Amino acid sequence: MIFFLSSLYYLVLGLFVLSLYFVFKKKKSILKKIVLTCTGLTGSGIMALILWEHRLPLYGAFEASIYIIFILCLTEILFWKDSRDIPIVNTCGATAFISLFLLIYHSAQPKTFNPDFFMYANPWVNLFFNLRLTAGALFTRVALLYLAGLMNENQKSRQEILFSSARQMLLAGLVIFLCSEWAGSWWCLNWLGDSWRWSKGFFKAAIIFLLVMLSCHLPPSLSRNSRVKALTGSLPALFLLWIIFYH
Amino acid sequence: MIRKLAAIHITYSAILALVILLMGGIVLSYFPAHQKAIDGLNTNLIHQWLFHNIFNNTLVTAWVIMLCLASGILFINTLCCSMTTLVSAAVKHSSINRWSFLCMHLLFLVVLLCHGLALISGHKTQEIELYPGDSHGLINGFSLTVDEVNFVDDIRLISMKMKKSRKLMTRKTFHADQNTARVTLIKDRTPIKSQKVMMLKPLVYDGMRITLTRFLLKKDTETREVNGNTSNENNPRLEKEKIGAVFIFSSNNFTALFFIAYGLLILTIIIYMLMRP
Repeated sequence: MIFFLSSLYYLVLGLFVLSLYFVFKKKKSILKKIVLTCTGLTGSGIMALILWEHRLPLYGAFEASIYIIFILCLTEILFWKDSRDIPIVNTCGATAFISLFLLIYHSAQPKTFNPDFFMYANPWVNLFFNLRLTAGALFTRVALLYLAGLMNENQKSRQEILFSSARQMLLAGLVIFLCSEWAGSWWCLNWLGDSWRWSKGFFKAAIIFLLVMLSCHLPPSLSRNSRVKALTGSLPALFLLWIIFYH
Repeated sequence: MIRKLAAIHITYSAILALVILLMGGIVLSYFPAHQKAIDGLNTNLIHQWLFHNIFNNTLVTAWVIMLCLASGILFINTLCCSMTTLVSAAVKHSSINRWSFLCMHLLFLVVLLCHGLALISGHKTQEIELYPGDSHGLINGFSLTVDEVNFVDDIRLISMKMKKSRKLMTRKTFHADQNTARVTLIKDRTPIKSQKVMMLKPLVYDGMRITLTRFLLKKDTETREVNGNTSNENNPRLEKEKIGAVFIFSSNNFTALFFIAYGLLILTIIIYMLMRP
């Protein structure tokens, strides 16, 4: 299993490095194929985890990175369907860049799944951690779309499509995040007798929700500024990734 | 006045203030003295906690008050905004999108209200350590009795430190569904409910929850007389291990409402997201 996971890691890493070359060459069709291959590879890693460990991807540097990359690639593929006038090279490039960053940043970590714990048998625990990872990936996609939007500052129609997609994805991420929190509250109620606790973990979760709210409640003077909009929209991703990898 | 209170600038400022305050809370948690004070909020109602902590830990007290104030401002702002702008928009240009947008805000208010009410009402007792045969008095004439504790796994998992046991308590070594405690809830000497409780599966009765959080190990020593001789050499001290359990008792009437409102809030966001032009 360790050999399989290490091979998977280096294969995906190699493919994303290669994709950066094709981003500069603006080879859209090859980029699409690389993203598709990476989706398949990371997907096979997740399947292996589910079959081997009998649980969903939860946390830990390796499995969290692989799962987030899988969701990122999947949302990228779904994005191709809707896009007509969208710079796919930009979005593919940003996906590859973020994925590569996650992989390189965790290169020193063991390429194994997270150690087992008896609570992983509980469905609420699985839902809480897995949906949190999914929300992390969706918020990362939001940041990526805002970034692509900023890169297309001169083409307002393109920027509008990218920003609108980002907002839709932000709402989707919020739904998934709230589902995770709902499951987490239920877990906490059954574990510690309370649906909410005064603790670091709960403060962090509340901050994520508030950051999404902040992005949705910008005063007109600020929401007119595309940079402020993009920065505020990217904050949930930055904060949630920090929680996932440093909690 | 209501229009002013409903302003988006207030929403933005209140949310920003809450983010900054919660970040402050994370920083405070890194200091053991402040962490201990914050932990106290998990076992006390907020007004009782404030009464005890106002002079003991002024910084955390000020932080809690500011957090409550910011939440209160956000609550009033959302209420005013819903009652003015959002209601009129939904009535004038009626559509699923606008009604779901209004419902989303109203349900958020319910969730926030449940959080607030949970801080000032209900009851909670932590770390109730009981062994088979022990009883513990609860509230309103209720008491809890532990009839038996059944632990099928390696008892070293109980006695070792939390950090070490966390690594060893896997699904193969620790069977949460087989390690149980049979407890009886009694009111005025009449048994009301008897049930096997296990970790993550509490006893629930009329808004009250008896939650098993972990198991305990106590070494009982007893002297056995050997062949009528009572000298120390021939009187081995037998160490008998007794397994008990730690419980949390909590009672909150708003828990069900909180979960229902929270679920509906998620549902309205989904509807709003799908109906967005």
